[in-house]
This record gives sequence, C-alpha cells and structure tokens, in this order.
Amino acid sequence: MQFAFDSMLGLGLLACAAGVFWSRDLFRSVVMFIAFGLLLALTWVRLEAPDLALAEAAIGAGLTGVLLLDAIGHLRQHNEHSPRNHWLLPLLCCIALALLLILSFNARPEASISLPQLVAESLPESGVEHPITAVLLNFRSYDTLLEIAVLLVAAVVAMALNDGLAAAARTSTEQSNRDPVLAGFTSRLAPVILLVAIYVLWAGSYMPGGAFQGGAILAAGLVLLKLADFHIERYAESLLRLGLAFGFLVFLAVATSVMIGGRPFLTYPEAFAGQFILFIEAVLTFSIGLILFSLFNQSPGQEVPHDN
Amino acid sequence: MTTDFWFACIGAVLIAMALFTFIRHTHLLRRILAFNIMGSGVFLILVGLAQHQRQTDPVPQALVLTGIVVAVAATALALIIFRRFYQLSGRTELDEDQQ
Repeated sequence: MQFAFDSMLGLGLLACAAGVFWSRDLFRSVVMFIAFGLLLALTWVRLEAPDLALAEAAIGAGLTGVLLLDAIGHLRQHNEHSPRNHWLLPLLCCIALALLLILSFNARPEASISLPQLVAESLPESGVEHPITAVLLNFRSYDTLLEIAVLLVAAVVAMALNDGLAAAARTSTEQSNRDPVLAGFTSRLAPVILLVAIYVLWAGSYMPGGAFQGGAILAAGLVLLKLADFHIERYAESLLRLGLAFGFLVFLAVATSVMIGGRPFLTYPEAFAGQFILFIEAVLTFSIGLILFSLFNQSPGQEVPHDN
Repeated sequence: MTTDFWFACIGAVLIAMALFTFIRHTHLLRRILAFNIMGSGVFLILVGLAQHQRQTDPVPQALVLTGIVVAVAATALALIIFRRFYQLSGRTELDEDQQ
C-alpha cells in the first residue's frame, strides 16, 4: 500500500514537472508548478520531515505561486517563441546526468560519524526539545544567521530596483476598487492567520514548526491583505524598513553579546538557551514575514513597457 | 528500494528534466521555474540520500529548510529583475538568446 502511494506520488511529481516544462501556455505552467509544490509537501511527509512539509506548503506552493501569478499577470502575451531547434544533444546529456546521479547514489561513502545520534545526545543542552529547531538555532545557527542576512540583501536589492515613482503612481490609481467579498473575508481571516503564525512559532520549540514556517504564514497573510486592497504598505513603509533589518540585527546582537561573558560567538549560556532561542525566533518570524512581503510588494508595476 | 532512495532517484530525474528545459527554452520565466524545480530535486536528494538505510536525520532537514527559504527569496528577486527588464525592454528573453 505504501509502496503504491510512493510510486504514485513520485510519478505525480514527475508529471507535474513535465507539465511545468512543456505546456505551451505559461499560465498553465505556473498552475502546474503550484500543484508540484503541494505534491512535494506530501513527499516531505513521506520522508518523515513534517517541518519541510509545512515550509513547502506555505512557501513553495503558496508564496512562490502568488509571486509567479503576479508576474504572469503583468506579461502582455503568454505565448512564447518556439523553443530552440536542437534538442538531441541536450537530451542525451540530461539522460546521462540522471543516470550518473542515480549510479553515484550507490557509491556514496559511509558516514564516519552519525549526525542524528550526535544531535540526540546534545539535545538536552540545546534548550529546546525539537531536534530541527535545535539544529537551526543552536548547533548550526551560523546558517540561520547568514540566511537572514541573504534575505535582507535580497530585500535591499529589490528596493534598489524599485523606482519610487511607479509605486506612488500605483497607489494613487488603485484606489477604492476594493472587492467587498474579498475584503470582508480577508478582514476576518487576518487575525486567524496571525494566530496560526504565532502558534507555529511557539510550537517550534517542542514539535514541528518554528520561525521559518511562522514567517512564511505571516508573509502570506500580509500578501492577502495587500491583494484585498487594504494598502497596508502605506502604513507599513517606515515600520517595514525597521522590521526588515530587525531580525538580523537582534540575532547578531545576541550572538555577539554572549562573547562578553567569555563564550565563543553564537553559543548561548545553557541555563537561558531556551529563552534566547525563543526570543531570536520571534524576532526572526517578524523579520522573515516582512522581508518576504516586501519582496512581493517591491515588484515593478504594470505600466506598459516601451516599444522599441 | 526504500522510500528515501526512491525519492532521491525522483530528485535526480527532476534535476535532469529541469536542466533540459533550461537549455532548450529561452523564456526567462520558464527558466526561473526550471531553476526552482532543479532546487527541489537537489533538496530531495539531500534528504532522501541522507536517510537511506539510516534513521531520520534532522541535520539535512534543517539545511533544506534554510534552502527552501533562501530559494523563495532568490525566486522573488529573480522575478523582480525579470519584471524590471520586461518593463524597460518589452522583451522576455535575453539578447544572447534571440535567434
């Protein structure tokens, strides 16, 4: 039974990917991509990675889908030029690549240390009970610190590419065409989304969940509010700029302040590790939500491109 | 064949398919999609192969979680650059790719 389910799921993933790659219409490609994201979330459940399933459902299927649909909506024609004519050589190369990858799986070296065992042994010292949160925010917190820095850089580049004039023109032209059903629905849904985001953040310390999933849900809520024409970006402009860097700065401040006590960079005192991690996670959730929202919000507007 | 190994193989096939699309199609949006699916293939290999014939491993899972969030930021940035390019030039392909 499980074998049948796995086979169907794997073939479904391949079929959705084929749909993304080879359907004529770009809109259909994007819809197939969202379906691919949902199937991938199921796959993570099968691989016993519920954290990844949560993140994939919120980010891969949800947020990326919205970004892609928004980009498609601003293209004038969906049809593209016919693809390149030569296909035999790339096809052979790609088949060879797939075979090589699969063959190399069998030749992988044995691990000299068992990481899961190491994590399980050090879990009591980390301050949280959920191993993935412990890895992300204690054992390998460098990764997380650099990740929030990467997100911040992406948001700053997006701001630099966005011309303020277009944004101003957009807000002035898009007034009061608010859909009452969407607006009413969103205004009731927003508090629930916020609550879910906070719950997922809180749950992260002892079960699947955490800052990334919570941040993604928060960003999805903000995007929904924006799509329902609530103009939150106007209230949020100054708050946004502060919030974008807030997560990174607080994380860095905590990471360096422990050095005053003579500890190495990014190691928390064991007695307070749990509180430190929860505090950093809360700030990270806020910042990740705002950064992902601002990447959506900064997208160039829909004015007709110059014909030249 | 275990579940983990099966999905690692699916990941390998996804990477190859995405690479083929990347070479063959010139539309930038299609390339961004291919890039994303290639990333998903890499994630499947990372988790699937690490857990093959071993226990559930939180370390690659945490790395992939970081990867998913960075991938969405990279996609969003790529889309912003693509839309700016389209806004300024009205084209959806790079100069080098035009036949």
